[in-house]
Amino acid sequence: MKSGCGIFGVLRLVHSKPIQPSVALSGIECVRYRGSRLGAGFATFKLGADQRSKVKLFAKTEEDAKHVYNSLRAHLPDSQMSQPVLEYTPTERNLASYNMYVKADAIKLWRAVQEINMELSKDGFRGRIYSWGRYVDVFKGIGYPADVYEMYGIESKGYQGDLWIAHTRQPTNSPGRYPIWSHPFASGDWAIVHNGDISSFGANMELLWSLGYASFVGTDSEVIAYLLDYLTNFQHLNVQEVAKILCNRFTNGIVDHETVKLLHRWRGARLDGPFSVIAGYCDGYDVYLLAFADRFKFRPIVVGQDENYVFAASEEAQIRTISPAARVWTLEPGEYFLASLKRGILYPGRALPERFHGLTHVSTAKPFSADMIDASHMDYQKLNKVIRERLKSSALEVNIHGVRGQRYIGVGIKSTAKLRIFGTPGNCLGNLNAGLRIEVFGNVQDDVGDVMTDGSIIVHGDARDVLAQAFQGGKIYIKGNAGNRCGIQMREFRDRKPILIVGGRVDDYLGEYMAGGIIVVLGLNYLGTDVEVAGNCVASGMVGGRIYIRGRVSPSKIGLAPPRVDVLRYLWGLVLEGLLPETTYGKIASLADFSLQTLKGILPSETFKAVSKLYTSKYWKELVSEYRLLNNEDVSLLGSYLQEFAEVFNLQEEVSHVIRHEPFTVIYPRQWPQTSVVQPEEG
Amino acid sequence: MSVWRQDIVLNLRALAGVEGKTPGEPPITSMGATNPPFVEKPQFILDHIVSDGAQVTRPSIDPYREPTETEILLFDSELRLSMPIILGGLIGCEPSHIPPLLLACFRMGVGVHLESGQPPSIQREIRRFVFLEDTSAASSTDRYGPLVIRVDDQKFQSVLEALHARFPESSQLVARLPCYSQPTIYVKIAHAGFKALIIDEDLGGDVPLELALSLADRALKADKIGDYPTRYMVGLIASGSRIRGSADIFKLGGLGADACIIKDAWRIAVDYRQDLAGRLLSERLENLLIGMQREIKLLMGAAGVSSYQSTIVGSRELFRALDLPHDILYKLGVKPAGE
Amino acid sequence: MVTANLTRDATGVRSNLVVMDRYLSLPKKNNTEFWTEARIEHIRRLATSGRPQMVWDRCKFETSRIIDRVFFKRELDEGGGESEPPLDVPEDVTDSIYAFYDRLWMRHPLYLGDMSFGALSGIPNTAIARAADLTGTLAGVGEGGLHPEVGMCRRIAIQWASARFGLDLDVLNRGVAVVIKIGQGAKPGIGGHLPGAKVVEIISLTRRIPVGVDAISPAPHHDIYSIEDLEQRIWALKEATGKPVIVKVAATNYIPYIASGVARMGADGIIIDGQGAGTGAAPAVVRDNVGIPIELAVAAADSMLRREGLREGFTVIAAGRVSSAEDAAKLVALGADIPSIGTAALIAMGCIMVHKCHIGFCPAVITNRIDENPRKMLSLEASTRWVTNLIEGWSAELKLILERLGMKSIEELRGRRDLLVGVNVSEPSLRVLGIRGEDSYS
Repeated sequence: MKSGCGIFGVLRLVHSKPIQPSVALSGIECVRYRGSRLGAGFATFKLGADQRSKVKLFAKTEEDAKHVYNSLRAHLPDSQMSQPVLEYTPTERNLASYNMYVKADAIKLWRAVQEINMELSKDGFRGRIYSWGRYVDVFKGIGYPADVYEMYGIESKGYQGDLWIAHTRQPTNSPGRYPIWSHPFASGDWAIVHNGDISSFGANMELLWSLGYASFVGTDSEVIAYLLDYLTNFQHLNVQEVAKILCNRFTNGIVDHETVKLLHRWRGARLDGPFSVIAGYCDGYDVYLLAFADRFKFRPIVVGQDENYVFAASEEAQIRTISPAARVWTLEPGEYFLASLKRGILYPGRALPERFHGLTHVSTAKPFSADMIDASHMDYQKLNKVIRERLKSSALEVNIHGVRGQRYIGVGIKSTAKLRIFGTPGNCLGNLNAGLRIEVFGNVQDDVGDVMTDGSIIVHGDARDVLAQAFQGGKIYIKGNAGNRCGIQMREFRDRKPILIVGGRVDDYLGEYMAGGIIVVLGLNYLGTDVEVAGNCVASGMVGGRIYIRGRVSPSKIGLAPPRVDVLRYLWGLVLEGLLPETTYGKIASLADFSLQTLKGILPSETFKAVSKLYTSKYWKELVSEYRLLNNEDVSLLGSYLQEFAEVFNLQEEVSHVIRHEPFTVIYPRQWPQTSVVQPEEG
Repeated sequence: MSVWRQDIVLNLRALAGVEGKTPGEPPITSMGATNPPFVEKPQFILDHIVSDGAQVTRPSIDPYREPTETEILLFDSELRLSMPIILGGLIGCEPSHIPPLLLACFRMGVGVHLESGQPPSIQREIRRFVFLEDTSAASSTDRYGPLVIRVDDQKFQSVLEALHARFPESSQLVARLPCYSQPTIYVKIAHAGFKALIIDEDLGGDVPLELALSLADRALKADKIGDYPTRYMVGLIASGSRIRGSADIFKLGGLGADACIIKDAWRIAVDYRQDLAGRLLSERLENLLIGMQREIKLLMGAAGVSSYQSTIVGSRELFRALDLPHDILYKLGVKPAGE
Repeated sequence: MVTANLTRDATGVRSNLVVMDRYLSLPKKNNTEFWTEARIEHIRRLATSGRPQMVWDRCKFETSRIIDRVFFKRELDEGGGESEPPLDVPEDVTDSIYAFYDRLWMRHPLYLGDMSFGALSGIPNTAIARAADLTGTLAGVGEGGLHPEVGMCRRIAIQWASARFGLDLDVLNRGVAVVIKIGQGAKPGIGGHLPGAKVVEIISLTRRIPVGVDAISPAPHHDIYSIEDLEQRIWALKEATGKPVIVKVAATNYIPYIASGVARMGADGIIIDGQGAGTGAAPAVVRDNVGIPIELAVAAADSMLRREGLREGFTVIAAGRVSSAEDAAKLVALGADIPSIGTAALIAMGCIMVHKCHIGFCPAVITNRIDENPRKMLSLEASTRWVTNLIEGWSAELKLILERLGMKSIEELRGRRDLLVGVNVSEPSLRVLGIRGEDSYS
């Protein structure tokens, strides 16, 4: 469950018509609940021949706007410049927006903007230039997106573009009274919307100061815009290189030296902590939509595509609002997605393109019975109330259609009735579920089944992040893929044993802190390939239960491994000391991948003991990982669930093939007899 | 008052495995803190600095189950330390202890600062981690690792030229200097061609280590070589006998130190004696380093940070000062707690 | 003995059981301590008598917290004339308040900090919860699941922490409020780990995990990575329980923004836990180097909440080294509604501050490991009485302070920073506190 500011981006493909602003509005208003009255905004990009920059500013008075005009003239004496025009008049005591056109060298203009913004904040705040690009137009203010849309007359003035990005804001680290803190943040021909709170903010600011950036409104979002602009337009790195630097993906120490040098050289631009960013950029030749997520994927982001558009959004429901049948997928942790007007998708946000498996396209299904609840105009409270009322009148089955992003469906409802949902339910579906049998025809979003103790959740589609956290009883079946941190903290108690089956693949941290129950990842959509269907840090901190993953999982991806380079260097140290034969070292160094379990099979016991301290700690628990066909014991444990899974999704053939012929990686913690008295400790 | 409070000594020894039963594990304690500045008396600026804990606005990170990177790159990525630590203060060590110490440091991927007493031969791999100051007995392996030379605010150009003449191939020249309050001196030394600066409080100077380091970091950031800020090309290393362990290293990191040289701290931790068996010494040292790395990871994780060199180093925003006056705050670039 | 009966079901009782109903004498210590002998002595007197012992806190001169150097001007005006007991508790002064948008009446403004079953050994948990019922205050139960005896008390706040141990709809509905625990002052950003060896039958029952399996509390909530995620959890819990939802955070760098965020997201209150607060177990390096003191945090949070128009009705609970009624009064003057005690309650139950909770061999049998066959246990009757007396005596001292300030109710004191003056406090700290400073005692 990761809500936050809502962000949205839509890019047209070259054959389709310019995008109307109403598309951007519905894409962001759909997640109004992610934001607040405290700020919203839009930016649009348009390729064109106009070589002038549109300088936009907030000013307290007309005099201040005039003053900015005069300062710009003074800084850029040779430039052509138009008089400032009032864009909107604030309704309350606030800042008004003005714009003017300037024809000037980009770098000179940037310098002038720096100087003027500094001056405007000296001796009391008078205003700020917030955009100065040639192809971008930013509209931002205080209010919900619809308010800002209205304020600037975005529709009535007929703005349309090749790309729109939009934002609704829930301030984290700054108060929200001035529109200068609203998104998008622009720098040159970049504009970004952002959700998150980067822990590298201080380090990034230090770099910007040293590069001559001197005037800030003080948000981390602004910092990201400046870094993108600086690295592409001042340092002339390409967009993909810049995205790699900012994303700061975990490399596990396996990366070429040139990339190491690039990341190190621009370490001040690397981002840490949670973020998801949607950015627009125009280099004068093409228009780009860039979306990226942090290395842990702490913030939500999905991307999508149909025949006319490419999308990026906080929640799938946003994309579905505009394109009910779009293909929607998620970014891998620390990855970026890049598409352009002229060239379409340039990088899909995943190392391997997504294989669609779950999506059934039934999310648009029409009502098939008269008593079906139409949720399309209900908020979650209303919807849950209606469900409760139906159940009170002893209904055994409730059918709902038109679901688009409503959260908390089924939360706090004590019942064993069946709930059939058509559409895209919002976050926290079936939290604390103690008996409801929920079936979803469509994809589900984040945090499904948290603290569920009984009942079932069946999804004829994909699931996103933090699926089945602290899941303690009942069944969760996902036909398609699932995201990061599935089944974390799952646990069992007495006769309660939860089971989670995912038909597709999963991302990082599967079964982190898992203490009981069973997880199965079938990866049916990757059958016949050697693609590993689980991400990094599988079963990290696992203390109980069992995980079955179809196919091989690299040993170093199970649990948390120290950097390979540190292990090899340690072992070489043992060679230098004469404690390890060089040939044994060579054997290990030549392995593409190894784990502590691998080393145990190769090293003599003394040297194994020495090197294991790099892997273990008092919190460490030995994980057993076996790569093998399912045996009788497994089948008696899983068989009935897998059969049910196969029937529900009509996948009998694939599932029975997998049970009989496909090897699995089976992971469980080695249970040592409890003899030693460990230091007890707790908060 | 001694730098080495009882709790500090006990905790260091617990890390090394001299005390307690869990070597290499960050010591656990209970009930409220007793440390400076509000209970024990503060001795250094560091005692007034606290680190951030991620609460709500961003998640903290669990370093025992999730990756946290403590590696430090120096000399244009030529040298990779596995953690921001360099072992120093080896003067006076029993000569037979030097090889096991070097080997332990190599295995753990930390640097060693050898002020004097260069052993006759060091393996090439190990030499890469040795910050060699005594070049009198220069050997053929010396082009493989960092060379350190003491400078002051008067003579550094000539010293550097002399060094260059002797080791024309070396690209890892390091200046070791006192704590100067005058920021321009650091810029001048960097421009002379040194690739890293060791600011060593034990060499004296006119300000405390914290201030010298912070001033150097900011001065090098304000300066450029070409269109690139000097700071990001030059390593900054803090050194002082009073650096007490991972918390001090972490805070000095926030003020700009890529890495720190620890001296007395490791000797106290391993309970250094001339008659200590070499094996035991290196085992204790490895435990200590693993433990300090874990403590650093705990502090990073608590602040929601997963990458030390890019996110912690010089990142003052992650720190706050408790009850320090304005002029000190200004020089440190650290905000007061509550702001 | 009541104590023995209460625990027989769960743990069984041996015939040679020693029941602790007296204080141990304090050990000689050679290191400096915040909880000085004088502080412990004062709490013990309150706990045994239930009567006020002093008006102005004499112990503040023994340590150098910022709050120790902040004075009510009234005290300085009095010129140090000490009041000796017996003190007459003013009858026309009240310290009652309504909390959480007026949804909960508190007879005294005191929150008994979230100490879990597991960190404490069961009887202390019960004593605290019963004392809360008896005194009309509120006790947070911590994360260890709901101890059956604690679950029978009313004035408890159920904790929703990162591991959700022992939680379901029924348990969530047992208290008068739900506390979402994000962090604690002694170890901001650090999780918890109870080794399998300690997960005995009773722990297994309350946490709903099998016997012998490690109980890990992740460092963050993996469904709360931002202020707005928190909103989602707040409203999910409101949807599930209909009760006030309070968020507990450690005092760290961004506390003013966090407090305003928590209020804006719909929580009914915030517990801010400052640096120096107690813990059952924490890595020393984190406890000693992360987080900021409560006086700065409360003042900064209160200022931001006011500036954003979010202060009215929202309840600010201040925790971390709250050692006396004067500390409590100063925190209220700086902007808190309800001060919180944890360590002070443990001291009232006999804690002698040997910092051994994590070892499991607590000499005062408060934080000892939960044993199937204990040899020694705390008297439930005595410990309940001690905590109840502490609260009543504390409240009386608070009323005496209010009387000296010429006030009839605690409400009048809230946010009255103008009554305070800092002595030898640095200028940046004074600015955060929003008070005037002096270089020396006037």
